[in-house]
Amino acid sequence: MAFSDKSKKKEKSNNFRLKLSLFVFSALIFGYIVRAFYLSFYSDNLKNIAESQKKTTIVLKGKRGEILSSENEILAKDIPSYSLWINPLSISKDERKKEAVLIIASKLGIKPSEIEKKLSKKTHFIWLKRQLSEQEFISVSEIIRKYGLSEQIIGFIKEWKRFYPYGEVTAHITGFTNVDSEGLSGLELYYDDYLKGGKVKINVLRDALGRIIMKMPPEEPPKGNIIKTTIDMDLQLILYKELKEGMEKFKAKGAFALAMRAKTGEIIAAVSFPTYNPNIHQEIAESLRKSILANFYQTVFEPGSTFKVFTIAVALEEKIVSPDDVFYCYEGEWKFQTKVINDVKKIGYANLEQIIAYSSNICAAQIALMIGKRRFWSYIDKLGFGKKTGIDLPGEERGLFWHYSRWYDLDLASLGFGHFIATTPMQIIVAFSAFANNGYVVKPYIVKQIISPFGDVIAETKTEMKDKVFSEKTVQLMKKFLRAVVLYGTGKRAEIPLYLSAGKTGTSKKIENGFYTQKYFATFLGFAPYDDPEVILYVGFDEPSGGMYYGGEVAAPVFSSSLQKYFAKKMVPPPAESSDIADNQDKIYPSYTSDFSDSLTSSGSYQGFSSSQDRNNLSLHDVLDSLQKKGKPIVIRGYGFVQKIEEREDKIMVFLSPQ
Amino acid sequence: MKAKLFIFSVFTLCAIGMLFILSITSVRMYSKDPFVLFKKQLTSIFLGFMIMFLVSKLPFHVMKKISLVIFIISFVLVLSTLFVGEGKVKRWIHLPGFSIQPVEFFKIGIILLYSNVLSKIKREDIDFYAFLLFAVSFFVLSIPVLLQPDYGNFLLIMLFCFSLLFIKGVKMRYFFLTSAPVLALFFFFAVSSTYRMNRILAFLDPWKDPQGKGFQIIQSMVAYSSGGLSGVGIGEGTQKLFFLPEAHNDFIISSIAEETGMVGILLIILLLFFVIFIGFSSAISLKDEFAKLVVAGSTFIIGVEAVMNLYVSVGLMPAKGLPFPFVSYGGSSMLKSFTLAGIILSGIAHAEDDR
Repeated sequence: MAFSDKSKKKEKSNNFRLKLSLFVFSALIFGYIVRAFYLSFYSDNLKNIAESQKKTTIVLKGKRGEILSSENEILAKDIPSYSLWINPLSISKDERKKEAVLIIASKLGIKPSEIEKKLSKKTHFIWLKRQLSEQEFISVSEIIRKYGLSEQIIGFIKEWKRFYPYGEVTAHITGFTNVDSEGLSGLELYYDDYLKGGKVKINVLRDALGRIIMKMPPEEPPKGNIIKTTIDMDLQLILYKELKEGMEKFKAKGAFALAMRAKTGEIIAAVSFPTYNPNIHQEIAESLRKSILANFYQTVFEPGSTFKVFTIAVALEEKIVSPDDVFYCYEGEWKFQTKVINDVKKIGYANLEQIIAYSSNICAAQIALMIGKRRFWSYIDKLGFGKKTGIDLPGEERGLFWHYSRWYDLDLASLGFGHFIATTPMQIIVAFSAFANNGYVVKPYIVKQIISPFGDVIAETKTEMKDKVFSEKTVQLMKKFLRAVVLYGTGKRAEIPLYLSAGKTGTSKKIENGFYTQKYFATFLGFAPYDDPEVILYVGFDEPSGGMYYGGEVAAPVFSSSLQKYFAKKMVPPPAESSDIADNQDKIYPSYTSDFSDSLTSSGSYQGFSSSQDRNNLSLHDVLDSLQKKGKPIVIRGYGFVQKIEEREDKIMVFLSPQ
Repeated sequence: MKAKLFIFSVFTLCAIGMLFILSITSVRMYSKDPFVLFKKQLTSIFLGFMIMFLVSKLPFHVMKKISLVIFIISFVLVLSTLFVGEGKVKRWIHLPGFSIQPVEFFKIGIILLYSNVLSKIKREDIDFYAFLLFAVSFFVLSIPVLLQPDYGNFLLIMLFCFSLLFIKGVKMRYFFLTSAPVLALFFFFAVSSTYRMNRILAFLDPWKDPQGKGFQIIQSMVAYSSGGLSGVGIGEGTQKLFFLPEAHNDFIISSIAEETGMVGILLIILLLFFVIFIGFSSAISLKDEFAKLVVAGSTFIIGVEAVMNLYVSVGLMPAKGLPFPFVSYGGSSMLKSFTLAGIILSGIAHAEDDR
C-alpha cells in the first residue's frame, strides 16, 4: 500500500509538472496573442512605417535632346551607358565577394581607400561607378561572372550618357552635363530647360535594398528638344586646327577664334584654347571647368590697337575730323601730361587711313582727346562695351569700362588706342559688326532653332539689329581704312587673295597686378570678302612667346589661312569685280611716312604741301617746329601753304590753302 | 483520434510553411530556379514524414536501448563541425547537394540520453549534489556546441536538459538555487560579444537605431501591423522585399501575419497548441518513465522553439535565429521536428495501449 501510495504520488508529481508545463506554454502563447493583437490593431506608428517605407516616387528622365551644328552634324547626343552599383552590407561580410569587388574597383581605377569607405556604408545600395565605358563594362561583367556574384549584391543600371563626337573642338560651345544629365556649362547649361527630357513621376514599391519593383512598364518619358546651333563645323574644325598649330608654333598660352556671320549675328565658329574633352569622366571635366573658361566670351583683356577703329570711326561720325585731315604723329614719341605715349612704327604726318594702317597710338590718343570724354563714352556705350552682348551662352563676362565721370584726361587718351578698357572678344566682334552692317550693331546668337522631338520648330532666332551707331559714310570710309591695314599696313599677312580682306591688328600688353608686363595678347580682327563682308573673324593668341608677338605676325596669318580654306571648302565664289582701293591707292593716298620732311625739301613728290618758298606764304615745314613744342595734337586740313593757324584748347588746327 | 489530429496539425503547419516559402521566394531569387527552396522543403517534408513514420513504430524499449548510440552519433556529428567547418562559425557539415546542421540532431540525442539516464534513477535519489552533477554534465556534453560557437542553441539545449529534470520532479528549490549562477552565465554570454549585446540592446530599444540594429525587430512588427485582422492577401505582402530578414526562415511567422493577418496567426497558434497539448497529454498518460520523459522532452523542444520564434517576431525577445517547427524553411530543423513528432506519435500509441 505504501509502495502504491508512493508510486501514485510520484506519478502525480510527475504529471503535475507536465500539467504545469502545459499551463506555462498556454500562458506564454496567450501572452504572444495579446502582443500580436496589439501590434496588429493599435500601433499606428508601425502602420505609417509600413506605408511610407515601401512607397516611393521615382522620377524617370527622358532622353536629353541633341545639339546640332547648322548643317545637322551632332555635337552632343545621349547614348546608352551602364552604371555599376553594389550592396555594401552583404559584400562586407563575405571575404570572397569583397575580394571580387576590390578587383573590380582596381579595374575601374577606384582608390582602395575610397572603396573601403563605400563598403563600410550601412546601406544596401551605393553607386560604385557611374557611366562605365564599354571596355570597363565588359571587363567588370567578366569578373562578376567569374566570381558568380549574384544580382543582389552587384549590378548594372542602364542610364543615358552624354556623348560629344567633336570633343575638344566644340567643348566650349556645348559645355557638358553631370552624370545626372543636368547641364553644367555651355549650351548644355544655357538651354538646359529645353534640352532636358521630360520627367515622369511614378509611384512604385521599393524593397529594402531601395530597388524599385515596377509592376508595369511605365510610359516612356518625353525626349528633350533638339538645339540647332549656328555653328559651321567646317570653319570650326579649320579654326581649331589652325589655332592648335599656331599655339605650338608661337608657344602661346592660350588662343581664341570667334567667327560671326557679318549680316546676321550668327556665331558660326568659336574656338577657345586651352580646351578640354567633355567626354572624359565628368568629374574631371567639372574640376577643370573653373580653370578653362571659354575665352571668347568669358575672359576679358585690353583690346589694344583693334580698338582704334572705334576711336577713328567716332571722330568721323562726329565730324571732329574730316577724312582728308592729316595729323602729326610726333615721330613715335609724344609726352602727354605725365605719360609718354610711343608708337611701334615712328610716323610723322599721317592721315586717318595711315593712322589705322600703321596703328599709331599717338594719333589715336590725340583723336580720342579731341572727341572728349562724354561723347566718346556715349559711343562706346552704344557699341555695347561694359554690357553683356546677350549671346545665348551662360556666364558671359561684361568686361570693365568705367563711366566717363571717373576718367582722367590720360584715361581718355589711353582709351583711344584700346587701353583703360577690358572687353571680351564677343563684345569686340559685336561692335565691329557695325562696319559690316551699314553702321548697325548686330546681336550675336548661337542657337538658330529649337526643334521638338517630333520635328516641329518651337523657337527660332531672328537676326536682331541694335542701334545704328555709324552713318553709311563713316562705314564706307572705315572699310577703306581697314582694307589699307591689309594692303600695306600692319596686317599684310591677313590678305586673302581673290576674296580680299580688311581688318585691324592688335598687340596689347597684358596687365598683371595693375602693371603692364612684357607679355602680349596678339590679335587680328577682320572681315572678308572685302566688298560684301560675309564673315567677321577675330583671332587672338595669349602670350605668344616664340619670338613673334605682333598681331600682324601671329594672328593675321591664321585669319587669312582659315578663311581661305573656309571659302574654298564652301566654294564661295570670289567677287567678280572689286572696288578695291589698291588700284588707285597711289593717286589718292600718298604715303605719309616719317621721311616726309625729306620729300618736302627735295621739292616734292607730295602734292599736299608745296615747297615753294616764294611769296610770303609759309610752308607747313616752317611752322612745324614751333607748333610741335606746344605738344598739342596738330590737325592739318587742306593742302598748299599755311593759311591760318588756330590754337584751340585741345588742339592746333593748321589750315592750308594752295593760294 | 489524438494521433490523427496530431498528424493533421503537423501537416497543416507544413502546408502553410510551403505556401509561404513559395510566396516569399517569388520575390527573392536564390538561384536560377525560383522553386529551388520550395523543392528542397518538399524533399525535407517527404523525408521527415518517412522518419516520423519509422520512429512512431519504434517501441520505447528499443528507443531506450539505442539512445546512447544515437547520442554518440549526434555528438560526433557536432564535434566534427569543428574540424570540417569553414570560416569562423562552424555549424554546418556540407555534403554534396545539401548541408546539415548537426546541432538539431544533437538536441534529439541529448534528450534521449538523459531520458534514459533519468528513467533509471529514482526521483528521491536526486539530491542537490546529484542535481549539480547533472548540471555539470549538461554543460560538458554541450561544449562542442559552445565551441562552434552557437550560444543560442547551447542555451536552448541547457533549457531542454533542465526541463527533463523538472519533469522528472526534482525539487523546485534546486532550480531556484542554481538559477542565480545560470543567470550570471547567461549575462556573461550576452555581454561577451558586441554582436549579442547589440541584439539585446536592439530588443530593449529598437527605435534607437531603426535602420541598423533595430531594423529586424521593427520590420517584423511592421509586418504584423500591416497585416491587421485578415492580412493583405497571400502573395501580396511587401515586407518580404528584404525588409524582413530571413523572411522564409526565422521570420516566416511575420510574413504570415502580414499576408493573412490575425486570422492566419490564430490558425497557426491553434495548430501549435494541438501539437503541444497532445504531446504533453500523451506524456501524462504514459506510465513508462523513459517514454514519459522522452515524449515530454520532445514536446518541450517543439514548444520552446515555436514560442521563442513567436516572441522574437513580436519584439518580446531579442532576435535569435530560430526556425519555427514545421513551418520555417530548413532541412535539418524539419527532420528534427519530424523525428520528435514520431516520438510523440509513438507516445500517443503507447498511451492508448496503456489505457
